[in-house]
Amino acid sequence: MPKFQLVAPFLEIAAVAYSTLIKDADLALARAVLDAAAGGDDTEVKDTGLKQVGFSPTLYQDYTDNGLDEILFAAYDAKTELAIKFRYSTAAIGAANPEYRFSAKVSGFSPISGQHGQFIMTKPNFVISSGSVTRAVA
Amino acid sequence: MPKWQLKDARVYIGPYDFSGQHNRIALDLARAPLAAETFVDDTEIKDTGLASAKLSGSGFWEAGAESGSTAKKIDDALFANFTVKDVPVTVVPSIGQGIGGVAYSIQAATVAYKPLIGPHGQLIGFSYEMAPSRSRVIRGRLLALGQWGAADDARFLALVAMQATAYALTSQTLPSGESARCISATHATVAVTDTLGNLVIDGTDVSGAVIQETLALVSDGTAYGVKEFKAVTGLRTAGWVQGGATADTLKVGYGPQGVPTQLGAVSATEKLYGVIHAYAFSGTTPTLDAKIQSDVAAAFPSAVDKITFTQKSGFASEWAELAGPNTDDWVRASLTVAGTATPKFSAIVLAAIAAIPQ
Repeated sequence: MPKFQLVAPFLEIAAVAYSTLIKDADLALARAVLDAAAGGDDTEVKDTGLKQVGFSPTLYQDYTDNGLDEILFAAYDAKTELAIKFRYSTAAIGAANPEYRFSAKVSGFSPISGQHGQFIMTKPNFVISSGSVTRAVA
Repeated sequence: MPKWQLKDARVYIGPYDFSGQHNRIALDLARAPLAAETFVDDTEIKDTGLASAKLSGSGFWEAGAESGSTAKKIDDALFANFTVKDVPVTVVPSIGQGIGGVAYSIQAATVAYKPLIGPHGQLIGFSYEMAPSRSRVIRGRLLALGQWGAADDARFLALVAMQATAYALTSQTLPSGESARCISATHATVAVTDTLGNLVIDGTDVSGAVIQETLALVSDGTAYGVKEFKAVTGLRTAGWVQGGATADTLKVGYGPQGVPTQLGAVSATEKLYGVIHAYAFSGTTPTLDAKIQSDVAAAFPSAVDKITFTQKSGFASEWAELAGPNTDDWVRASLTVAGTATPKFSAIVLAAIAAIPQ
């Protein structure tokens, strides 16, 4: 089986690609764990509940006009929803390059953070604000 | 896309520029995630709630006053800030962006301050945390920065008769240390008004790059440019034709206005915010009258004063707000410096638009 190396991940926020600003990104999908143990069980059995989505990529900050900082602050300030698309490669979507899509609001980010001499990074926290995560292969 | 290195950030706390004491800065913005899912959702849906912010900084500790100045050092200022709030604080990620660059401001209360950090033998550090004590975090654009002296409408060309050939410059440079300025050209009729044409200005900008601007002269008035000139290397008219027996007159210098920035119109549900930090001054009884003006075009054909800061006569900072609407989408700063013995002020001015919480 092939190994997939994260070399050129694709990230789109509100229809604008920010792939070249990605330092690292984890899309975390989970489900709430519900205690389902009942009479007759000798083990704590679990069921899964609502889906949970966490996305907080680390990005190089960009202060250019209409750049990342302006987009994030506007969405944070106005509480607007952004369309997020994320896949492992900038290559075309396909069965081996699925794209995860969801709508999210910015629940936090750091416009400036760092020590003298370092690159300025920001780590926006996106919370899913409507619908759910979809996985597109075409 | 560029990568931004944190090497020329600026930190203004009240009326002081403490960039030279900081080596770390962080502005963290957050909104409380609120559970918003309903029975039609299979995913935990969140809305975002109240905003919060934390500004934290650290660097090298100092106490006392600057030599020959009444400026406070970092320890004096931060300790004094424990007893006050609503202190304007501005962070500029990269001052190299110049006019139009990004700046974040809050009206802050100091919620934590650690002076005298460090073990024996090491440089003494400090750290602090601030939080908004009023209003909100604003993301603005710089309208003025650096040192400003009094306007001089004949700096580059003293009053002379207009001519078809290039003018001999009175001076090629701004007064030492002063920020780049927009050019002004003032025309006056002598008997019969000439066909004015344009003034072609050659020079260099703040980075030393060669620039040129063509300014349509205004009959018996002053025309203002929109480019920042650090030096002027040539002045000539194009299309000028003498109207009577004697040529009209022309002088060229700079006024109090800064470079225009297209900030956008302000809606009825928004405010225009203005912040000034006047962090250095010199001369005898210097004063600074600063304004934020707006207009419908970059050339500012009919500038309107939107925010007028109180007159500054020393170290000062101020936060101002003006409720919308304002259909003008261009803004600029106007800094009038007066006094005797070559008065000068060093200041930054920024403007921002933000929604009024509904």
